[in-house]
Amino acid sequence: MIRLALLLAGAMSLAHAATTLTIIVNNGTTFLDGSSLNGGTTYYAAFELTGGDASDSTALVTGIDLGGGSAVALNLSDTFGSFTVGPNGSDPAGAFQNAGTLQLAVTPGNSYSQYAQQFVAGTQFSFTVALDGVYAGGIPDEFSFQMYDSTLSTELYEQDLDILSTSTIPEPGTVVLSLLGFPILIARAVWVRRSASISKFDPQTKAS
Amino acid sequence: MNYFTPGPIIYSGQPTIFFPGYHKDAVSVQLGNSDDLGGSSGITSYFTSQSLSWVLSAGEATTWDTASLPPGPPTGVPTPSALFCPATMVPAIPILSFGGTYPHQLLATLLNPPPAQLPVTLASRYSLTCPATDCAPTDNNGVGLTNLQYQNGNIYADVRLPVGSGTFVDWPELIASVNGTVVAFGHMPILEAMQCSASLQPPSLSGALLGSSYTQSFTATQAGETFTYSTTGALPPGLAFASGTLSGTPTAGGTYPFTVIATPSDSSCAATANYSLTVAGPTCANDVTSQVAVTLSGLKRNLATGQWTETVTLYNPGSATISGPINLVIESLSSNAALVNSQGATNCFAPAGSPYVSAGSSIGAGQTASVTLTFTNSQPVQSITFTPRVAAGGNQI
Repeated sequence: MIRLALLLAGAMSLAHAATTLTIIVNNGTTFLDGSSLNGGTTYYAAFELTGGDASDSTALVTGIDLGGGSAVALNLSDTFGSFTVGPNGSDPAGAFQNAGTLQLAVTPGNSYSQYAQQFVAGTQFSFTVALDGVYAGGIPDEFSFQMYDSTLSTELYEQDLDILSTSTIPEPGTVVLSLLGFPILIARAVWVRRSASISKFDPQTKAS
Repeated sequence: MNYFTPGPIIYSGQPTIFFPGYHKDAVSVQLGNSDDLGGSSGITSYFTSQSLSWVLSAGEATTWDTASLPPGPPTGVPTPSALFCPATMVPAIPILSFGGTYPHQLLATLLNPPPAQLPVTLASRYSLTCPATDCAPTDNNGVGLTNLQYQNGNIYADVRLPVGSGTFVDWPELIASVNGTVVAFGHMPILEAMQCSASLQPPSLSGALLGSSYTQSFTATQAGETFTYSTTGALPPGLAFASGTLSGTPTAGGTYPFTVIATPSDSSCAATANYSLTVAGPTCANDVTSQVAVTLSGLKRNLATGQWTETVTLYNPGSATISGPINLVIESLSSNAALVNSQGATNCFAPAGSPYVSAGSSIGAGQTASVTLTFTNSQPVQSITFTPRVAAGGNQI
């Protein structure tokens, strides 16, 4: 059983050094408190993008799949900074609307974006995130996905991804080489049973 | 044949001194005119004009042959044979000769069985009022016993042995007398054989730092005892010893040997230990940042705690261990942030006042050390920034 899959698709556009990966949390994922995803239970899903260096970064979350679960209406007090929900920005279901998307952005002057929303769990929670940015040295920008209980009092799951790309525009036709040669990002997962399987992943990218 | 009848020493016509109990079996025998106490090599007697009593040493009882005792009590004044030497109390194999009629019973007290082996279970203590006007307890080495105990009608000795191990050989005795006349002599059982096991803690001292507060407590423990503490020797200037604690602020460097003495309430089993305290001047940690590859992770906020964390990894690419203590100094931390898990602020490591976090005792060659930093951020739109520096060694940062 796949408890967690990080699927780096390497879907780099030719204009940006974006790296995509898919995070899947299902009932085989052991949470920090020893529990696992329980269908029908309300959780918080939190997406964060934190700036650290002197560059801009974005994180585009797509393909959100609640596994048969349902969204709980977004509470804007659970958000912070710069984010964009689509395709319907006024849909109460927020990023968990049908075919919903979420984009977080940070700049040196606005270094933290947070989007947290409750949902009622189905059989899984999964999404794909595309990270776009350049590492300018010092503390890297970081995307973090976290799950909490319904009261935001207990952290259950965490997956952190540092943006360490050093190139913005790979040569056309060298996408595969770029995937193998560039230190795109470092992924750090925090869960009890570290059974991540990583495919199509930059060999310099690591799960720790 | 059972030669011995447990019971009290009976001294007819005189105050009776009781030595009941397992170890104080009294044997009342009636001796004939010439009874052989053969095998008795350590008979000690106390002889008066009107009485005679004697005591057998341990192990002699089994050789006491009373088979030839005549019926009926002897009468008259007993007369020791030439071999019986009350003056020296070190007789050879005695043969007692009696003549005439003996008005008194002749009594012998069976001495203690072979001495007990340690450990002996501690028992509750009782005070004793000596049944005679002047009883003088000693042990087999002639050392006075001060811990007589009385329990369930029996008199016991409470002996203390020096620290160490081996066979317990103490042998308490009690000589009872009335108006200076010995009327009974016996060996007491041992109620409590306590081996002096108290030792002082700690076994040694870590160094003190000149100008820095220093406190060290000394303790000695032994069941049933409370200790008072004292010292001999010169203590480091600025430090004072009181109630088992050495404390103060050293004002002069150097090495100072001294002894701590722990004395129990009954003055026995004192424990002593020699110490040496070195007062060293402050030495500042070295900046080894250039010798270490520092990798910073990104920051993230925990929505449950509201705090921000990141991990800093220190890698030693060199071929030699970097000796510690290793501390990560957070220099130039942005004003919007505060380090929650700070373990102090730099004092001598420039610039002063920077928070730092321990990163272990050392970093081996090719090894890494990781430190998790936890911050608060009063302005989340502003990034948390700082310059990491690595401090190693010294006793101050």
